[in-house]
Amino acid sequence: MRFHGCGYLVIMTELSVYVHIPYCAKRCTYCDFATFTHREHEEEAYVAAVCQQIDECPYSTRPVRSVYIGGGTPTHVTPAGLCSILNRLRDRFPFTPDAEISLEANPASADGPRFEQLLAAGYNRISFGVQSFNDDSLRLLGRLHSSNDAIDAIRTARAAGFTNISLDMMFALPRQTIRAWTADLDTALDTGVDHISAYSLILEAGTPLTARVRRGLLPEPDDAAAAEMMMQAHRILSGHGFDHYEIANYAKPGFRCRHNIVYWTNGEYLGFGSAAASYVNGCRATAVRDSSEFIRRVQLGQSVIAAEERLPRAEAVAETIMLGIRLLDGVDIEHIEERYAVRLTDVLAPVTTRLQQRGLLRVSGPQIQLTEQGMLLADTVAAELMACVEISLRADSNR
Amino acid sequence: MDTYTQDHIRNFCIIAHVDHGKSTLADRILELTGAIAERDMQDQLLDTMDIERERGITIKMTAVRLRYTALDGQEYELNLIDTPGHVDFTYEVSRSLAACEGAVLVVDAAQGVEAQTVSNVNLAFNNGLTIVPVINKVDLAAAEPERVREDIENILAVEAHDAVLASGKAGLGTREILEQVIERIPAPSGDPSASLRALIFDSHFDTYLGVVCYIRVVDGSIRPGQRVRLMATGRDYEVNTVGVFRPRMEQADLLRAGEVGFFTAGIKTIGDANVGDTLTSAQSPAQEPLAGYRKAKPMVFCGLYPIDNRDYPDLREALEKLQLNDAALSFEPETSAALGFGYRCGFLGLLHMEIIQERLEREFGLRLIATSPSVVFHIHLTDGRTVEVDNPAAFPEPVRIASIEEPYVDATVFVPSTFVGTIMELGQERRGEFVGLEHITHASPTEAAAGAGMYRDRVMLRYRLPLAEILLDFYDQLKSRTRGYASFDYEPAGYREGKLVKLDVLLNGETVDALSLITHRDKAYGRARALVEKMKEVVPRQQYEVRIQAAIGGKIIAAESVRAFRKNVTAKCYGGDITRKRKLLEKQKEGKKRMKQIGSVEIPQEAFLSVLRIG
Repeated sequence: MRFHGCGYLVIMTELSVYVHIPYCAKRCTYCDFATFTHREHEEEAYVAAVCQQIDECPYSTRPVRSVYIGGGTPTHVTPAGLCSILNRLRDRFPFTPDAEISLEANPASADGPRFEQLLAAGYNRISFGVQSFNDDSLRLLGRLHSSNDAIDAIRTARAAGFTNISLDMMFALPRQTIRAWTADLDTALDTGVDHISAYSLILEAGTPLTARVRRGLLPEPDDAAAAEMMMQAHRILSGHGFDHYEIANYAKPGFRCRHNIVYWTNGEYLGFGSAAASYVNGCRATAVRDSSEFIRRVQLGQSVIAAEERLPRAEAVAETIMLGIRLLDGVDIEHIEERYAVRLTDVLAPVTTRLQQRGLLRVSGPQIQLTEQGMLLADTVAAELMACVEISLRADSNR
Repeated sequence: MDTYTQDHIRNFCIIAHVDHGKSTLADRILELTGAIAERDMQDQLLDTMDIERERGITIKMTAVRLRYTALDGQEYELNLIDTPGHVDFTYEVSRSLAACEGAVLVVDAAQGVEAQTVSNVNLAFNNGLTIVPVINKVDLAAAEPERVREDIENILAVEAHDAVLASGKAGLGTREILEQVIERIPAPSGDPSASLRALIFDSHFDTYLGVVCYIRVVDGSIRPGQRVRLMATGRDYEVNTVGVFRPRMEQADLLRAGEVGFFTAGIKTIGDANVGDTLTSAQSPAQEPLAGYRKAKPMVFCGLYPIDNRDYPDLREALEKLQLNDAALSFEPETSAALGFGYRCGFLGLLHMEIIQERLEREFGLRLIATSPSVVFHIHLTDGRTVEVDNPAAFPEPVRIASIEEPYVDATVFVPSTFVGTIMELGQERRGEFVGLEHITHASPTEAAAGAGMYRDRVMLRYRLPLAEILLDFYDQLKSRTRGYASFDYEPAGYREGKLVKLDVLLNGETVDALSLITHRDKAYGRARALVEKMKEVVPRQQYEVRIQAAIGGKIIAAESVRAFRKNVTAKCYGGDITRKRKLLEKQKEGKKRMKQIGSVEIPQEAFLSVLRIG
């Protein structure tokens, strides 16, 4: 058999779609995403450019099983804009009947009619960037909403008919206590949402929050406390019927985020809009970060790709393990062997045994999964597995 | 080949403190005697190795035969024997001095007498040499030949009223030096008809000829075909060639009493023809060897490990190659749990060690880790035996040790008098015993008033110090604390008892062998603190808490700990993050490859090296 480029060929007929909306009313203090403020004037042109990009997409015969509109703040553009993007996708691609269509929303304004309009257009899942129910923490993060705003927004969305609602929450915030985090989790549960993402704050370089911590104006979140908070979320949410299915994600039965699972299983997706990533046919491509530049290129008929990589097989296998291990169901090594036509079991055995001895990994037949301790050290686990895979597969291909 | 009777032969060397212009002066002498045409001159021709030229020091000696027509109209054969200028090579210097009847003493007209000047003159006196003083660099603006002349007489007790005023750079005084060499240095006085006795004062390895031995024939003569014997080893050889350096090797029919040159006899390794050994006839051997032979003995030891363990065979090969020309270099395999496979290497001294390391890295492209240097300890055991230990790893259990002796040196420091306090402080810190202080040159009242006297008013301090204390950045401290004005030299001064202990560093209870060291008990605590604090800085947080301890025997004297990391997980990972995350983890695992695993603890290699450097 001859391999080309990425070294393998997988036909996964179904696709997922991500659309990036890079606009915000205000930039949060911790945010290093590709987002822009004060560009309201170009929003219409941006929506048009995204629509044009969808129209010109070559993978139009493959059915779409999930759509995720993220940002930025997708709800910063008009409901009409959001509806036209979804309509264009429907025009271009066949959708599976049960397609999950998610929209990220800012809980700053609880606007019932708007939620109804979006629901009518086909959006069936809404994800609120709540981050915290503590107003001091919200101010620290530079959020525009209050705790009550968030509670209102969730209630309104539910009233408007959304049956699948998710919350993003953050822990390991400066000055946040384990008690405050526990209170946040309790409030989140009280809202009756179906899905909760709980992220540890990352102090990204170049953000105002990081600068304040570095200058000593804010205490640096403690690593041991962060671990404790992560385990607290695990305990509390699991205890309330939530299924901890990915390192940072919890779902009521049947509410796992199908879109995100595509990422963690290294499946294929198309990205539209500035800074959006696509992964199709073993090729990962990322669009230009700047929204104005994105619009300009689409209008001129130029490529919007800023970076592109075609992964050699060893890296693709390593990446599949890196992503898959984040899922608490774990990774089936035999499935990966099949998917990439490689032999891994013997190669990985010494590493998985060692990780098992260290209490980080559970091994049962071909299935490997993180233990509770392993969740806290998932990157350590992933790095060791990846190193082993890449070394042996490279040696193989040199032979 | 021309032959000269002994009264027309002069064998001499040049001795000087580093940078006082010895090599340049030698170049001028070679030019003047036509040994080398001016256009072929490469500065400092006698120094053949790159490192010698760069560091301005002479490592390997060379002996050149010169033909000189003196002002009296007669032609003389002059043998100029170059000597290494550093204390590490004292024994080599003394053997090359033993091949001469006189020494040209070069003193910088601006700097005056320095520490090495003193030790070299002492060596020359001990070998019974006639000294011809030369005040060099007299063309410098700062030259003070009169003051230096007084220095030479007062400090060195060398008659200097007719010292030659010279400038190697300007070519001044060269002929006068040679005239004085002929006039003042005695001609050789061996017995040409006696049985052969020749002193081996150096050697080098030649791929085609084998070992080329540099010899001074004292009695008798040597010619090709002759059966000769090396008196120290008792081995016999048949001479293949004899000859002289002009400065290139040139074959001759024979070498006679009084002459300097070389011979080859298919000797395979330099270790078979030791410097200082006496060569005699195998048929009619001399009764007594020449005096002063001893085998070159390493004084300083350290472990050398390739950073990349795959370079181990290359390291061996490189050491073997260097040893071909350096009998004083010793090495034997050593393994360390922390550093892998390497060699325990012995050196004549600190400079010798640095030079070897530098040559291994530069000429052989090796990247090396060196463990903390150690001296040779004499350990008297409770059972009455005495063992020599040069490696902390081989240190006996404390309960078996009755007493320990360590090597001492007599150190001489020349320094402007303003720094006396500083030097005394350093001497104190380094367990030095103050021996004496002498004022050298006094500033004249007018100079002192003008402030010019500050660095003119100099003193010579003498200390008796443990050699181990000098190995530990003593020279750097000396230079930095005196803003570079101090000059320093030392010579071995036997062994003395010391309250020494072995200090171990433990990570989670396991000894890190590469960090063990021998130290004085009073200093153990300070060094222990420094080591554990540095380790705490470089040991990254691990899955478990890491205990860092320093211990003497079983007793912990300093401890630190590195908290476990609790969490190492990327918070989110979605489509746009995947590439970045993969690269991040690749970096983590790249880091892993460069980790040293010590017991259950992983330390980045670079960090580990930084601890070794302070050790």
